[in-house]
Amino acid sequence: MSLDSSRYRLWNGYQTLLSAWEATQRHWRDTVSQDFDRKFLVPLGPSVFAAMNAMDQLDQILSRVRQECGESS
Amino acid sequence: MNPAAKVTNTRAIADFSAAVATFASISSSALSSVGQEIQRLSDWLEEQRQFWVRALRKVEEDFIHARQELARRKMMRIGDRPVATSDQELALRKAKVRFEYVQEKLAKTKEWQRVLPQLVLDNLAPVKVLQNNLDADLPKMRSFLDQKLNEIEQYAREQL
Repeated sequence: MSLDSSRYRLWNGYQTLLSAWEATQRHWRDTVSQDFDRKFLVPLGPSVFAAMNAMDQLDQILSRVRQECGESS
Repeated sequence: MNPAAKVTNTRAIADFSAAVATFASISSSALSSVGQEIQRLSDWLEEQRQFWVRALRKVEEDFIHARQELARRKMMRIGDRPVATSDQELALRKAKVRFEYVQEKLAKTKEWQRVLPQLVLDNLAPVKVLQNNLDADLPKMRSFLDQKLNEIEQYAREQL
């Protein structure tokens, strides 16, 4: 699996999780659900984005290595 | 306090708990493949180094051979006239270009083998942070949701 496809799968999984949470919140809206959101869901976004950026950087590095050390270039 | 007061459908919580489990599986697979992909590239890099070492030996021999061939040709005479050497000169130029190309490839490959581990380490940190956070938090999320469901079910039983 390439880093690009891993990145896509992570993003897709995260979006699906957020959609599921939105659907849940339509049936569960109290201080407990707000605490749950604050404690778990809110901090998740920045760390997912940071990991995705890192995977993008790594993908670019790996592509450059393949290009510079392979036979074709 | 009534734990079910603001929950209109307990199935929604159960579904979300399942969604968390699915995300745990997807994210774990996606994040662990990062390390695997880097390991594959490191292995490939070592194979490339060996490939370019072998290739360098071969192109060096070709270059020496082309140079010898040109020198031999330059000493040849037909009568008192020297023979044409343009083909040998072209062959030597080509061998030199190929030799320099392979030399550069080998140098690049060795250089990447030297710098790649640190570059990977620098860029991998956020991936590891997310992996650690998910390893710690996703089970807590499921446990929290399951506990909430249990409280609601227990409250419902008590109301019967």
